[in-house]
Amino acid sequence: MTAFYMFRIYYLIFFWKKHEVHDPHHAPKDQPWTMTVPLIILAVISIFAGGVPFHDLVTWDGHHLHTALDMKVACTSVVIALVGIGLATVMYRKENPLPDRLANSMRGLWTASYKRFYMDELYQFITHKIIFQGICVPIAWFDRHIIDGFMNWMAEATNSLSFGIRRLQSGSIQAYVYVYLIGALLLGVVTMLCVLL
Amino acid sequence: MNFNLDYSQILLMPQEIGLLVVFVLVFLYDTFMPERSKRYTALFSVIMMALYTIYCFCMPIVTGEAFGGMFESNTATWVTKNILNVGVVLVLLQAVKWTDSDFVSVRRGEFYELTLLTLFGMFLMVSARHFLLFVIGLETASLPIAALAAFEKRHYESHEAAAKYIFTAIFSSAIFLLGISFVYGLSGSLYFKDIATAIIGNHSALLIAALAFVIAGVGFKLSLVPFHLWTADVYQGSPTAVTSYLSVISKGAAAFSFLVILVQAFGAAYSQVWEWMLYALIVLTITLGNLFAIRQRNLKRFLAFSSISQAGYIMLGVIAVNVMGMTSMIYYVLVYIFSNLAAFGVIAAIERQTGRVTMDDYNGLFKTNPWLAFTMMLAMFSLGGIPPFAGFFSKFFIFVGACHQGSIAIYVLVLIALVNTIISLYYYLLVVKAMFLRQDDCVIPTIKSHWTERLGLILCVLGVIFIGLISCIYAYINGSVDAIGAMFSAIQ
Amino acid sequence: MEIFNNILIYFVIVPLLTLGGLALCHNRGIKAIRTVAVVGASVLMVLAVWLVSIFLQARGAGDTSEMILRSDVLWYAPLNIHLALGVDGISVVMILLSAFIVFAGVFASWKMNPLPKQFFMWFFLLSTGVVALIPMYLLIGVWGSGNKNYSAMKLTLMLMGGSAFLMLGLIGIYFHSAPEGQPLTMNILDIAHNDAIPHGWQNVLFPLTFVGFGVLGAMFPFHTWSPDGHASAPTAVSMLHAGVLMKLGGYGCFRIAIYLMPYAANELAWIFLLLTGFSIVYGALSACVQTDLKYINAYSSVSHCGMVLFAILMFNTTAMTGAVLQMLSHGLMTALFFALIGMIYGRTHTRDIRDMGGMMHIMPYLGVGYVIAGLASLGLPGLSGFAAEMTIFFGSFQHTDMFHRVLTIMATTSIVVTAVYILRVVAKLLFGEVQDEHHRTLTDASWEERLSTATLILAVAAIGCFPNFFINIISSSFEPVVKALQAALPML
Repeated sequence: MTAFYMFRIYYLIFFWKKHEVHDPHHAPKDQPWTMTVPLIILAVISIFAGGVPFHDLVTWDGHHLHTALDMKVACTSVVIALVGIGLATVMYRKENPLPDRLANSMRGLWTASYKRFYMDELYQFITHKIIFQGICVPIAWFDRHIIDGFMNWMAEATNSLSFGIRRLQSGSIQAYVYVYLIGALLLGVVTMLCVLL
Repeated sequence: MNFNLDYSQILLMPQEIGLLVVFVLVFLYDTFMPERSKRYTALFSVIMMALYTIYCFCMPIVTGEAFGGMFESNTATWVTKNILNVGVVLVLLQAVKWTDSDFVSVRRGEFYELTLLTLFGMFLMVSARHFLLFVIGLETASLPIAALAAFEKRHYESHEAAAKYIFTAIFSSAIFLLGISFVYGLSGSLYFKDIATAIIGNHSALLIAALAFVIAGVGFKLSLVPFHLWTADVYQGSPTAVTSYLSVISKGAAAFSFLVILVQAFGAAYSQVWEWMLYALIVLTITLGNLFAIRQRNLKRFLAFSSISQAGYIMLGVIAVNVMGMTSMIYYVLVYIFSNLAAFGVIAAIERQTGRVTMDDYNGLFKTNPWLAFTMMLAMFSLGGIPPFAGFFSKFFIFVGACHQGSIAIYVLVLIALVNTIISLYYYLLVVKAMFLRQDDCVIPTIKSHWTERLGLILCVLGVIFIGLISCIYAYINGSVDAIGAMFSAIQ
Repeated sequence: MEIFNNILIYFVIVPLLTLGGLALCHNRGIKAIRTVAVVGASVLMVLAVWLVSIFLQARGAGDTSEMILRSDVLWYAPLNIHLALGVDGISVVMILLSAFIVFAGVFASWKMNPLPKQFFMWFFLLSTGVVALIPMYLLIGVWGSGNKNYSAMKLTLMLMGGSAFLMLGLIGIYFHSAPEGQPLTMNILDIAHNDAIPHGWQNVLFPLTFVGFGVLGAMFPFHTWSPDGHASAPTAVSMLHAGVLMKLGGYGCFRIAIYLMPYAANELAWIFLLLTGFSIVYGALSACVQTDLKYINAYSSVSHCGMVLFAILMFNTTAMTGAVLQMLSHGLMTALFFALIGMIYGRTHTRDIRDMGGMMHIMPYLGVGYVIAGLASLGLPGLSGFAAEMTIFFGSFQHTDMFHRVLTIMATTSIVVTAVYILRVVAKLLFGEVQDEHHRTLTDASWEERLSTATLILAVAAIGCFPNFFINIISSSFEPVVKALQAALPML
């Protein structure tokens, strides 16, 4: 597939005739060297990249990542790639009605493909409607109101408890003495119950 | 028993004698010096007290028992008294300017004399090994405080504080004496040691009642919940100098003697029982003290509740019943003296000049009085137990001391105490927040504090910063407690 | 003093000296203040680089001891507490990290207003790391933005809560640190060597310690201080706190909780794996819908720090190496984020991404910086995030059982979510429509801002390109821990 569409673009850009040029500034022209040089470097690298022993470089704990070139896989992919290139050559080498006809005959597939199989819409839907609205918003709410709310609630509860017991400190000596006496008696009685029983 | 008094025994109480000498000198100075020299009374007493304190640190420690074992001087009591002395010097230093103010200056001699007298009572409490001597000390330490609380004659609150203090104190003494009489009836003696041997194997309800009443009586001095209700009103109404004295010195002495009574009189036979009683009191004290403190706006009242919860932490050193716990307790008291006096020093300085004591008055204090605000902040952080201030070390050691006891219940208790430190940090931060983060239109103007106040505060700040970092202080206390470590050996 | 021969002590002394230097500066002498701050930060940086070279030399010379540069001063003799210094590979890189961040932080808060002097003083106090809570409270409370009072209080209290658990855990460890009859110790290496903590106790103490450190490392469900705290904190504080102090949580979990209690670590790892695994995904998902830039980054921190703890709990060298790499990577990257956010906020006065757009044209330098930080965060090869996360997930996947694998796969999905929220912000903030016409007039970064961000970007790229350099430093630290864990395994 990759081979097919890469070559389709290649043929469309370089071999089909120009449709129209809206703007003289946009007329294709040779790039300045700043673009050419990196392009050449990239091209060279990409030719030889396959030969670089990546499995020697990619390591995390001193052990090499073991990659083996499986000949069967390699051959199959090369053959399929060649077929793709061939197909692209047939369809797009010259300006011809073949692609249009094909598109008409497989209208549904083509539209879907033209719209990139509705992937963007799907992604948009999944991220915004499901993940953002369906998961993230509830989680963020949960965090702010339940988890954080619990922490705040503990602070609030302490505060209101403090407010609730303020009556104990009444300011009257009689009450103080009563509390004192009851406290001492309770201390004694409870301990007696615990020890003697 | 030999009833012919051997007067050389009196030499076993050099600290008490020294204190009396200071007292007499101050009294003579105040009474017989010409009128214009009297404004130096305050300074004179501070200097005498400071010299006496230094002298006590320098002289060799005297140990021994006097008066047929009623009075004991040992290394631990010696160190405790020295620490109390240091605290009193700081309190007196911070009070110098206040006693010179218009309405107080007439009676300034009384303030110093009464304060020194109560200190004498506390020394007796610390050294007492007999319940009668202890009661004498307790009353000597309590009654003059009522007079001190009423010192600000013009203020209604000051009278209220004194009245509340004297009534509740009398009631508490009555309960305490009732408890002692039970003990006497059961054991036939009031010597701590004799009681300890007499009550072995006795599990009567009467003894438990006696124990509860004794705990209630001393718990009153320490303001443990539920015997604490006088604290807030008295702290708020009394003059700030008296409040600071009450909150640190009185508490320190009571804590030490509490430990001695529980361990020596009730230790061998009854440690299981009173440890659970104390357990309940500690949980109540720390938690309720904190919960009440959260809502206070008046800073003196606020510190009253904070000191209630601090008393709970001090009690952790008692419940540990071991050398480490006792060391940590004395250390805690020392650190607490410095931190709390730093806070009260700032409050006193501001109150003296502006008369403002609520937390809202302190809004934006940092802008006008950066040093006072800074000192207050250090005091708050130290009380809250944040490293690297002394308060952190004292809390840490007291927790370590308590956990040294080793039971699971103690770990749970320490956990409760630790959770409470979060609450306490919250309200201490409220003060910091007011001073540093809040803005206000009517900020307290820049205050020029007197050099005595400043000196007192500087000493406190140095203490707060360095007591924890300099380890020899803890080692010094530990050495002196180790010497009497045999006291704990009877307790399993 | 022998201890001053140790380079490590200077990492405390230099900030303190800088603090002293700042105190001497005049309040309005902004130039002098900046100079002192820059000098202090640069000296720290030089020291850190020097430390790395010393460490590498020591390792190169065949020194395989667990910690090097050890010095030991007896501090509290009665409790056998020593002031012990020493570094392992992890702390070396952490020190390097903090030096970088302090350096960048000074430049990022170049135009701090008001009270620049006090700000820098507190900032350097914070950078000593010993006393983290107080400076945090004041830095957020005074110089912060938004709901700062609330956030500062919440952060302080929650971290205090964490330390409360931690303190109990440490006390418990202390009392079981040595076999019966030998002196107790607080030295980590000795405790690990003694291996005397009974299994029952381990099962209690491990969760306490782990949660204690976990709060600092923003573990779910104790992370809620992080979004509020970081959102309100001034830029440099967010940088230092998220960049360094949060990492102490991870280091503590590793060095104390797991190393000292391998049995309980094996036994209870699953609970914390679930929590941290959850917090990875949870943080990432929460970040997706935040609109405040700082909140996005704070939740992202929750996710990334969760990854650190998650990897530590995998108990193998690969994952743990990844964890430390992630600490470094996240520290730098999040500091970079916070620096950039601070700079953007300083210009636009809003952090809401709905109110901003098209920043790439307005301030290209900051825009590019943001993109780089974002790419590092979502794990682009060549930047630090990739090296760290790859290693973590490879390491985690080495476990062959279902539980670990499923968790790892779940955690891996967070990478996708990370990409979603990072690209969402980048698209909206940098490439979207300009929302506010005033924004068109804003300027790009000034030289000090460029310096600040460039330092961090270089560091991020350095980790991404030369992870082996760092792996060499840190990997030696893991063997003893992994060994201890494996030794504990057969007992299961």
